[in-house]
Amino acid sequence: MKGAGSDTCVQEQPAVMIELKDVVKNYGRITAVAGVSFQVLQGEIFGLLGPNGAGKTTTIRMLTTLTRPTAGELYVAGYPVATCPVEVKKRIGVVPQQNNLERELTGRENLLLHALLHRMPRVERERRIEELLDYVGLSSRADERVQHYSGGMARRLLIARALLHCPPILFLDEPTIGLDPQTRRKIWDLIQLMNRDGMTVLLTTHYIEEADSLCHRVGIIDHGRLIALGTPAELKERLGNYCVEFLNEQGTERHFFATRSEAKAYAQSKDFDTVVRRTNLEDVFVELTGREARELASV
Amino acid sequence: MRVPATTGGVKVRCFLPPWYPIIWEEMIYWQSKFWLYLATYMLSPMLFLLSFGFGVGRRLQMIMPGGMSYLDFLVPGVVALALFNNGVTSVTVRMFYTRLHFQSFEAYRLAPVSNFSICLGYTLAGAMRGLLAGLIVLTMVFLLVPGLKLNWPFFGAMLLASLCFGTFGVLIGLCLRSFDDQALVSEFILVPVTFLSGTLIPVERLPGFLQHVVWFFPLTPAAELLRTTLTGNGFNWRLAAVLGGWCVVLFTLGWLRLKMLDG
Repeated sequence: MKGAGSDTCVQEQPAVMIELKDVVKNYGRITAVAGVSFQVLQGEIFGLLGPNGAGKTTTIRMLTTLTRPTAGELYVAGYPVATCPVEVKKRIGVVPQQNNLERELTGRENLLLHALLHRMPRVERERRIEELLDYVGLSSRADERVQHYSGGMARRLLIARALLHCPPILFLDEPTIGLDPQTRRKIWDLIQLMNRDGMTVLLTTHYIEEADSLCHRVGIIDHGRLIALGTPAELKERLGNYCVEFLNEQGTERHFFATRSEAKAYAQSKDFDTVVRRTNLEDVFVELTGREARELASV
Repeated sequence: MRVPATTGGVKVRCFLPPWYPIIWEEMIYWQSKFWLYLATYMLSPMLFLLSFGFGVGRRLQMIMPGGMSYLDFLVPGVVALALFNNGVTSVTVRMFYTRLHFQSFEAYRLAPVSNFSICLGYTLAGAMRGLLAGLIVLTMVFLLVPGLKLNWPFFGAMLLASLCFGTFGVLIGLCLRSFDDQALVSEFILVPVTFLSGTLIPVERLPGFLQHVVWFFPLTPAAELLRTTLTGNGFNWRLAAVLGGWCVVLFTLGWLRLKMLDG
């Protein structure tokens, strides 16, 4: 499914498209982001994972110029976000967590509004709008008001809107939240197709399987700090590639092992039912962020 | 599935001003709701004219300074009210819903458009709505009040007043934080300004201290400027300067408020 970068004769160092250096964001006494640093390379799909309130949305808002950091430096497409916000905005597409389309406008009018805001010339904007409506499968419903759209349709229109001005970098904040599995998979396909076309993608998600199957690298953020960074395979390997799982009075217990034989030996030493399976990204996430349920508010 | 190019970047730019999309969106609403706007904008001025102008107006003649007819006094006041109420409210409500309810205002803030252009776009949208309401009221007044003579300075005064009220609407819209705030603005700003700014009752007939306080409301110089132009006393540049000053102050405050929202 994944496959960033193409086989080329000359191995060039990919450009850094997104960079955060010791970024801090305080809201009064509350620290939403506490010194986060990472880079996203050209052509990568980078996933930012974390429980509710971990600081994912705040990080995206700072990168997309909507919120000023308290401290630290952010660069997008090589431009410092603090001093060149307009240059940054020209080069990014943003799919927000919440549907922020104009409800009273039609799908086509929403795209036209975005094209006008990006000052696209008439011929170009008309071509792109038709192309993207077709791309996200909304051509037949383009002249209906957005207030009549389903959640999945609105989400697809948000993606089309974010792509309209041909940005090299796309930010997606929880792109599939609240969608049915079919629509979710359709959106995964769209993200992968965009990436195959060379686009750099930074997405935040609650859905671990989404990050596992889509992202080339993931960063796990908790309490405003980046607590793990790497490819999904690397993160699983750090924990142990095999998991032995069993249920006891305290709940489900999991133990991790580097090899299948070690895991099997441990499982056989128990005189009750156990499951031996490959470690997944959700295991990594739960081990790193803890098992306590978090509040629903998104920071 | 054919994938549209996503990373080429749009190189050619068009020459439309950056605030144009805000006006364009406003025009879309005009197209779809024109008859609703027409009915809404006619209702309250008609009530004011019927109740104050043709109703108790003759009895109010005694409060008029310089023996002016109350109807002559009321007509520019009602036009000023139409400019004020519709100019301010249309922007405030639009900003309230797009910023706090639907969050579609973020689409503007994510676009490569400066805060100045966003403020200017919303100001012009509010001014246009105020002007539309003012022109509708003027047409109605023209039919109801015989002998009304319009002149170009009056239209200049309408334009200046509607711009000022557009900036006021932007500032209020950017300061709102909740639905309760909207009610507070209505009760503590819009209603007092509506009734005390020399629109329905001459400023000279207000209690002593209020006669000075009301000059801190932008509607007072607007109503006065409209009145002097409509009565053929020429364009009062002093009042125009006061109104222009309000425009600059309110626009600057709105612009600073939008910058603050980035934090």
